[in-house]
Amino acid sequence: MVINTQYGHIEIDHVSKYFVDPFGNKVLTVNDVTIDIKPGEFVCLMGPSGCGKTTLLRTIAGLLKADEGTIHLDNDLIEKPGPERGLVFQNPELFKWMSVEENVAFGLKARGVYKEQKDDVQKFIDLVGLKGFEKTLPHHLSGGMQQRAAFARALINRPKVLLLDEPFGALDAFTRTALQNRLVDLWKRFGMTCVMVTHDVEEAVVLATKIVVMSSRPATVIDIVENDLSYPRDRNSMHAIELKKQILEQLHSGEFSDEETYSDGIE
Amino acid sequence: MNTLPLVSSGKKITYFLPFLLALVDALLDLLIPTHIKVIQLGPHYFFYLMLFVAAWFLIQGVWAWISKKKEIKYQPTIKFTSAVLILSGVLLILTDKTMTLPKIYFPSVNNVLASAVSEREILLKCTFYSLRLLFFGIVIGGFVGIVSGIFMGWSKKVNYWAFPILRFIGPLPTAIWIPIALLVFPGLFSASVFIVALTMWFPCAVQTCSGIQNVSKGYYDVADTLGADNKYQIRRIAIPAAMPQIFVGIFSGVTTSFVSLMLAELMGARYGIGWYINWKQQIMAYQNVWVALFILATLCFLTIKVLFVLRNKFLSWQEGMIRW
Ligand SMILES: Nc1ncnc2c1ncn2[C@@H]1O[C@H](COP(=O)(O)OP(=O)(O)O)[C@@H](O)[C@H]1O
Ligand SMILES: [Mg+2]
Repeated sequence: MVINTQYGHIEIDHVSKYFVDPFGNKVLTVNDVTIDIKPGEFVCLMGPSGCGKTTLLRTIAGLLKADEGTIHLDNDLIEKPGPERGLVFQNPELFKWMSVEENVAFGLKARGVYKEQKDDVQKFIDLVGLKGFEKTLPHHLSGGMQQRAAFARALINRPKVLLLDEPFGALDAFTRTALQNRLVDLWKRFGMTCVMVTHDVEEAVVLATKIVVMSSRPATVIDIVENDLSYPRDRNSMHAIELKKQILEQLHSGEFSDEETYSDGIE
Repeated sequence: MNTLPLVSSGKKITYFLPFLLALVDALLDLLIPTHIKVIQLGPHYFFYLMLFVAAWFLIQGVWAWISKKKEIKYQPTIKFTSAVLILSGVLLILTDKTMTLPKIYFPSVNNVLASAVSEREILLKCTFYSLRLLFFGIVIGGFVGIVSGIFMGWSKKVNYWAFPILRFIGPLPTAIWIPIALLVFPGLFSASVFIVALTMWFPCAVQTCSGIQNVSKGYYDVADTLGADNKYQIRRIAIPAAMPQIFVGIFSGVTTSFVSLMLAELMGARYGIGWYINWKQQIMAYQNVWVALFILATLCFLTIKVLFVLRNKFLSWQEGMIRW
């Protein structure tokens, strides 16, 4: 049910990434990852904690440079961050000296298009369900509301790609479900390509059109599972439960130890 | 609809405590004879001052009794003002009335007030000169401090070269700069401004630099992906995020500036509170020294008050900020 087929095509081509540890040794973190993400897809990256998912996502964002391989967005090589790739972290990182409105308007002002697109600020605040909180400072908002503001701030630039690093990881189950549904609405409305890191298998099954299962560090792709269930998805349908089981099995097969546990969405 | 009153009516009587204490102070001066060895330099200014203070606090008390808004502001100050008024009375007895304290260092309270009145013109002039020096020193030192702090905090390269210099210069005692300042600057005033500015500059630069370096990296990541360039990030993220620490630098700079003011005015200035204190100290006129110290303390108090107002305005976003 992908609505956009023109832009937001991400080609991750044999990407590897090292970090240098305190002893000066190179530590391979992302190992030869190749994923082709079609325009308008919703991809979930899953893998053990510390395997390199965030690293891969930050490389797509352009905040990190790949040591080997390339990432192209619509045939342009990604070398630095840009407003066509929005980012939302687990920690909302709202500018705490700015009201919700100022936070949301930040991208427009930074790009010098605020005058022309002023009306978008209210529009996006309404879209994420924060009407009435325009003048509120971030620390007066709940975690879920802060995350809503972070979504509006990222989306106001109308990015081709929305990168999400466990955006609902710190929220309670009820808020998480509400925001997952809201995200699906936004994704359908704007048609941006979404790449989301998550720990929650159910979340991946409910949201993704494509689930990338990765191994422990260094992250390699174990499997890419297509998920063509129609939206809105029923978390408890036979198909969803089957898929959850399958992915959990694959995740465990890619681990070196069994310390890692995955949430199956039941709490 | 029965709500408990915020303040019990028994407590409300205490709103007139400062008034009563000031009245008692005035009566002490009127009724107890002054020690015979005290050479009075003028009329009983203490008596008149306390009458004025009493009238002032009578108004305050009545106002607070009537107005809820005034009450909330006035009530917490009562304890402190009462203590000050009691101390004033005690001081009067220990000096003017009994001469129990060493008379050179603790001159008659009435004589301190008398010398304030008789030297009011030169004191006013000195206050003006000191304020001018402080103003230029604080503004220039603060500006240069914050700007250099921003560059040091933002750019690794600038930091590499400038920080060691800052670390070396900062802790040097201000006094050693006097000969250099006199040599380098064309006039006495600019040299004095330099001395004050230098003491303002150091804490401002250090705090701004560390404030900017401590800004959460996540903010920059977000700003990068929202299309903000470096200049925009400095203006809209680095500086506002570092603002709480910049204010810490300004506060500590301003308070040390008052100390270096004294020093700057010893370089040969013709007027100024520091110069005045030094002069009166040399001729052992301690009643004048007390007056000047009181003026200096008041200036410092008022400056800090202004800073708090500014801070409340600029940092109202801070979580759980203590309001002053
Ligand atoms: N800036 C960095 N410097 C050195 N090592 C890092 C850095 N960022 C991440 N790492 C390491 O790379 C590994 C993968 O991290 P990350 O991508 O955050 O994992 P994930 O998001 O899958 O939990 C971790 O072992 C982490 O310690
Ligand atoms: Mg991570």
